[in-house]
Amino acid sequence: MSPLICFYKDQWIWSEKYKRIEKPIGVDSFEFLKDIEKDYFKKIKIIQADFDAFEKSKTEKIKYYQSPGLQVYVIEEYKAFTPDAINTNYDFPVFELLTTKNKFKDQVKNLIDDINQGRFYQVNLTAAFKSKIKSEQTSLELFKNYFTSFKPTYPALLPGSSFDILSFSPELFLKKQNDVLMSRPIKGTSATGFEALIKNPKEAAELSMIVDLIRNDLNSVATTPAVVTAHRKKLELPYTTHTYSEVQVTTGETLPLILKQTMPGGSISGCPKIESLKAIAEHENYQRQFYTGTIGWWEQNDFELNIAIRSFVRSEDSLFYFAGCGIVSESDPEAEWNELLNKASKLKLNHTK
Amino acid sequence: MKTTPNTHKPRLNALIIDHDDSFTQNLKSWLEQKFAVQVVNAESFKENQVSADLVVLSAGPKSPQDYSQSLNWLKKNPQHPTLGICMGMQLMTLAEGGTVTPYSPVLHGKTSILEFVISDFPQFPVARYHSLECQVTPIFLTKAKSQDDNITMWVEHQTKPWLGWQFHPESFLTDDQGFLISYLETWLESKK
Repeated sequence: MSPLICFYKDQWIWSEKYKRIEKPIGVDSFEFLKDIEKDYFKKIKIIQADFDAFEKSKTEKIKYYQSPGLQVYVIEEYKAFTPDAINTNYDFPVFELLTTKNKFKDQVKNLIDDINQGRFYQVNLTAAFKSKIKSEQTSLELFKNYFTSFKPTYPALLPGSSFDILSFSPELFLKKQNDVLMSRPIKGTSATGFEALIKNPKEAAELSMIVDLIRNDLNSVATTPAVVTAHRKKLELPYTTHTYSEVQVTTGETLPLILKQTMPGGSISGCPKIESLKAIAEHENYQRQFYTGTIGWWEQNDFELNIAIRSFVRSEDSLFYFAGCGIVSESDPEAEWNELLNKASKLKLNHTK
Repeated sequence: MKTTPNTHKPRLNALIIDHDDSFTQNLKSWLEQKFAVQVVNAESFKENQVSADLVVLSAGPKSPQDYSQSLNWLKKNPQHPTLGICMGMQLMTLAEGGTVTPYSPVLHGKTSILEFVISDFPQFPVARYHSLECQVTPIFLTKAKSQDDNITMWVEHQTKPWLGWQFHPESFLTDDQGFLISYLETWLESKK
């Protein structure tokens, strides 16, 4: 079987012996996960849920590939995965951004108008990048070669029947160990380093709003109130600097209900969430599918799940990458455009229009 | 499941009328320090449901004019003890013929020091999430304003048991050391 790679506890695992189970069409995501929980309780499972896996009404937009919305890999055997040393001669694919600078900046301006009229406080706006790809260029070799560029904390390579997902996420969506459930939302980005970031009141507000939103979502499954255990900490990546915070609760609930209550994640939707999701559907012309959904491991009642950002999907002869920014009232359209490109700066990019 | 504290005094009940906000579970958790709390969405809210000691009108997206059901409830139930938070206070303002106008620059996820105008309370930072501001009629006492931009932050109705807070007591950015929940409890007691 095509190799699967995923973060698991303190290591990265490689498996060629697993069973892939897709959520059947028409089956509710919560019910599907309840069945998986019952049937494979003690197994290590890698799960992948789309951005809109728990939304009841779906908007019909461009789909770059066919997604079941939710899939689970039941792991039978695995070994440790160690990334290779960088191959300096690797022929990386060249991407086109599927929007223009003017269009993106106009969308940012429209969203700022909505914010100033009180419609929401923050919304996450994203765009897609596309590359043609040679059939002999395997997903595994792409994954290995991008691995060093992104230095991910929560990587995954998930082979599918008609598509493969390559995630290089730096962001922890949810982690549950015993009764403690935590989230580490990332907000605040600076290509010029941590000093510029930490002093910027716009970047502070952008993260604070999401911390309150994550507190809210975790409180909906909590037995003790949400506590902010870290705020505005530095996350240094090879291509950018972020700030993140950490929120914790205790809970007696298990993964199916926790995901139902908290998806999609606050940092990649917006706040208030319902209204932000409507705005995302209005502005983005494509369906995010796996992008900004979640990927991670699940074993008995413990799990660790990323936010599927800094991620690619390969379908037949195309490779897609996605990036986005949090828009708030103080956003500058030009700066948000630069942030979008910064988050794609590890890609070979054709000149943007 | 939450355990009920073993006290002789029965817990007071609070009903949150939720205006599609994303901080409602934080508000619920904050109120649970003193109250047994139920949440009902503004859309599905029926007036005959209210047996709670305190009604809490939540914050929420858009503007108070978008929630006519909550506005009508205030007008029809003027003697029910009610706390209005952010949009909740804006609804109270409209119900008494005041105005709610756009405020620039909008403040989302920011803090201001609360400065009391008529009480000798301690100063502390409160969280703000608003793009509208209230001009209340004189039937409301303005108890506190924001220190930096002098916006009405805390109002109390002179004849009706209505308390309005423009700031968000449930936010992690509000650092009041437990003052607000104790104040709410005392205020509610005084309205019985």
